[in-house]
Amino acid sequence: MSYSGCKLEVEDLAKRYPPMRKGTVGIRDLIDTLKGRREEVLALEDVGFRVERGEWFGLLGPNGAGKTTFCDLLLDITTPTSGHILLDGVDVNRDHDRVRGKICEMEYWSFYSRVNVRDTLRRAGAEWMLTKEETEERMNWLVELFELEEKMDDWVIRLSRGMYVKVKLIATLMSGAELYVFDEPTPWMDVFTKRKLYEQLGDYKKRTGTTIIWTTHNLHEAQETCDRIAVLNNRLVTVTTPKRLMDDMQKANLEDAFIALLQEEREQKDQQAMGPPPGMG
Amino acid sequence: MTTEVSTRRKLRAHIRLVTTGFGNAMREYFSIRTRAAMRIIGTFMEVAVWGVIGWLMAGNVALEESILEFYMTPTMVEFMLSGLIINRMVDMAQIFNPWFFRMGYKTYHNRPFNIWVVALAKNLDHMFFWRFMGLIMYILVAALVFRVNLDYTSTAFWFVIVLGALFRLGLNLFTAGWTVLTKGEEDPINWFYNTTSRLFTGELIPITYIETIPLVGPYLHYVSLVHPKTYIQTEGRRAAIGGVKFVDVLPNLIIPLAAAVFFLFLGYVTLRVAIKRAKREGIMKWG
Repeated sequence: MSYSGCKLEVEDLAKRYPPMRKGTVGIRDLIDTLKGRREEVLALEDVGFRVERGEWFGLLGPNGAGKTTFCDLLLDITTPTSGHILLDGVDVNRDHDRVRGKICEMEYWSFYSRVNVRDTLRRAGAEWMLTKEETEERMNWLVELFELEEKMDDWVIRLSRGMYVKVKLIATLMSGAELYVFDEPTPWMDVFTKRKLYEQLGDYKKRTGTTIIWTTHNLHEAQETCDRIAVLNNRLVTVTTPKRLMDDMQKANLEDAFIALLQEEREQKDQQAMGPPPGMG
Repeated sequence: MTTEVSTRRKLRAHIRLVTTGFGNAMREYFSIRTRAAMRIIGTFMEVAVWGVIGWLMAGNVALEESILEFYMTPTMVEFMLSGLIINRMVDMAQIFNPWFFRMGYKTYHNRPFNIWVVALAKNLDHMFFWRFMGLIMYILVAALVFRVNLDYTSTAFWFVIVLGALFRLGLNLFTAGWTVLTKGEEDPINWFYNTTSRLFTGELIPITYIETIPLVGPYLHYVSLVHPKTYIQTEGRRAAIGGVKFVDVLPNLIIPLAAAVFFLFLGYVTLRVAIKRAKREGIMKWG
């Protein structure tokens, strides 16, 4: 388990959720457990990959494939059943205090709706231990980079959904964290805003050398932005670059390549479930 | 930027965390001015109603003799308003928002601050502000309109208030654990504490009268005896109005003292266990 120089190292990661409780006290649950009626829910197993420093790393997979579970494990909102996630060699779950302040997620921000964008971003700076001067400097730079100057005195509630996501993104980047987690960040954006945002975020990444974990169902987005991708389907299907996956599957775009890959995986699974052909066992 | 910071910078950062949060909560609240105005008038009306009810009861000799003997408050106006002020003080001294861990843990767990510090800071929102404003209004209306003055310099009185607040903190920790695990609004212990508070603890009705309720009175009296707030209300009045000294108050506070220690321990353990279990079950981020 030695630190190899990469930013993030995932080793033999598995998460099985305990069966959902039926009540608070859990007497029925206890009876069901004793009778063997309750089964764990598999979210992830045997997942292992590395993310390099400064990489834009995409996590792809169908619904229920374990993408959000992976993000929750990375953020220590959920604990793994087995395995490790190491950030710069530090276990994010077992030694969380040492990585506190190094990972920032975009999904969980909540803002006061009747406070203007400027005060909202100042608060974001305070939440990440920035001084007043650092907050102003960083806020001005990001607002300029993401072209949000005109909205600074507007209440958050008056922003369009796309603009709101942009404010959330800037609040996230205010942190100056080393690793950012974006769990499907662009569902409400029109295509123009999205493209602009990828460009701006790419520019930010280039300037700061930060690492990005990007979860999405939008495969055109992944094709455009991600340096590498991991395809999950409760286990790791593959880790590759978007281009290589398209080449391997002989498809013109990532969406078709992704579908072909998962079909192939399902066929393999079905074959394994059926066992070897007669006379081969 | 976030790993090796000086103590002074850390302290400043903590202060900024509190002030910016408080500032934004204020901006949000006062963005609707009529709401703020209605709240102020509503608080004034509430304290005035209880004061007038107490005033209308003046002249009931049996009642006034009873409360003078037990609570050392000469009139029902003093009895009622002091009860409300003590209640407000204990509630205002709550330093911990029990719903923070249910909603805010996922957001603040990865921030460079200690999660307990954030829990305290998040309490300084408009709820704390209104608790404080409400208390000031109660004290002012009681003093200026109804001439009810408590001795706010009494050590015994403040000891009683701090004890009440510690007990409340223990309850809040328990509530926090309960709501993390069940995603519910309230736990049974807090529910019991809140629903029985007004009737059985002597906040507005002398507990000596509960026993006289036909049929159920003698049984209901036991609720008063086990409720820690009963002792806070009684001894708080005796100290702030009756001028009873610290050494005389102390022996009557054994039950709330034991309850505070017990609930602080139970609340802390419940919350720790709840967080651990919620993380294992993957429900920590549920709102």
